[in-house]
Amino acid sequence: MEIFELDAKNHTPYIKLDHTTGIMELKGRSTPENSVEFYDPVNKWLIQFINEAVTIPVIVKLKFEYFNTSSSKCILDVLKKFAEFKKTGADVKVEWYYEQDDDDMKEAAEDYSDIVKIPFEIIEIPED
Amino acid sequence: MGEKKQLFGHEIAVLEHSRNIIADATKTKEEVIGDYKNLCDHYEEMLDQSKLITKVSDKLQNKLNSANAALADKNQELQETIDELTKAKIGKKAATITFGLAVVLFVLSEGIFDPFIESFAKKVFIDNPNQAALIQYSTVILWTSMFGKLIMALLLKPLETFIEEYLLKKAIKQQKALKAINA
Repeated sequence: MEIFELDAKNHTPYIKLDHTTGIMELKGRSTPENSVEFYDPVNKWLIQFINEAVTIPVIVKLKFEYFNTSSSKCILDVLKKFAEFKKTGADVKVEWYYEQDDDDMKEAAEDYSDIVKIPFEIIEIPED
Repeated sequence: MGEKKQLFGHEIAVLEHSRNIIADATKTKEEVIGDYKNLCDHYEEMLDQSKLITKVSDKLQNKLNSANAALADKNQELQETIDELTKAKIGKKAATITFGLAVVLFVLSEGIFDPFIESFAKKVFIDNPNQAALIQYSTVILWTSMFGKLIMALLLKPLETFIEEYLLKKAIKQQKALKAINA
């Protein structure tokens, strides 16, 4: 199994899924032309990760500036995979970062935390 | 649909499975009830998803609207700065043109207008060669020359304003033409 890493582009977020540290990062803007196609390798990697039954604690770090509607469904699917992993007894938590004054992104995080059965920490990033 | 991934692929699969159950006459009542419960669970999950996606989508639309409004404000500020810059540039150009014209008028005054007055006054003195005529001659030259230069000086500011307005109108026309091409 290899670390999954994708550089951020204009319409896609930076992604790093690291099974050695347990830190799973998704950050930036997610408005790909085809969200399903974009998130498919992420889902495949996660299935492989879950099947390998890694015992390391997992921290999912999400820091989105913006994402479109289809991405919101794909992000939910990704989070559901982590929820499934948690059901197996794994230690999983989500850290959702949002820029100061970005109440819309904060509320989006709260909505996700209501539906996904994983501990959510919603963290404000102070302005420089 | 083939192998192509779909956004609601899982939900479509659940729906197809449920339809197959209806078509399957061999299923017992208990099996059908079990599948029905399964379908209800999926329906509940999908309803939660729909609520979430709708809410999140609306929130992000708000974010997009705010960003658009901020962008429109910045565009307005930028346009105002461009307008001010254009005005300043035109003002500088008008001042340069006016200065050039002033130099030309000064040269014309010194080279043509003043000698003409001088020769006219001389003619008056030659016709009347006395002390009073000499004084008259000097006074005419002095005052006419000064009056001419005063008129020139007083005309410079309105001339500059006129040139500035003309250049500004021209620039606005050019901007409008550019906008029409880009639209």
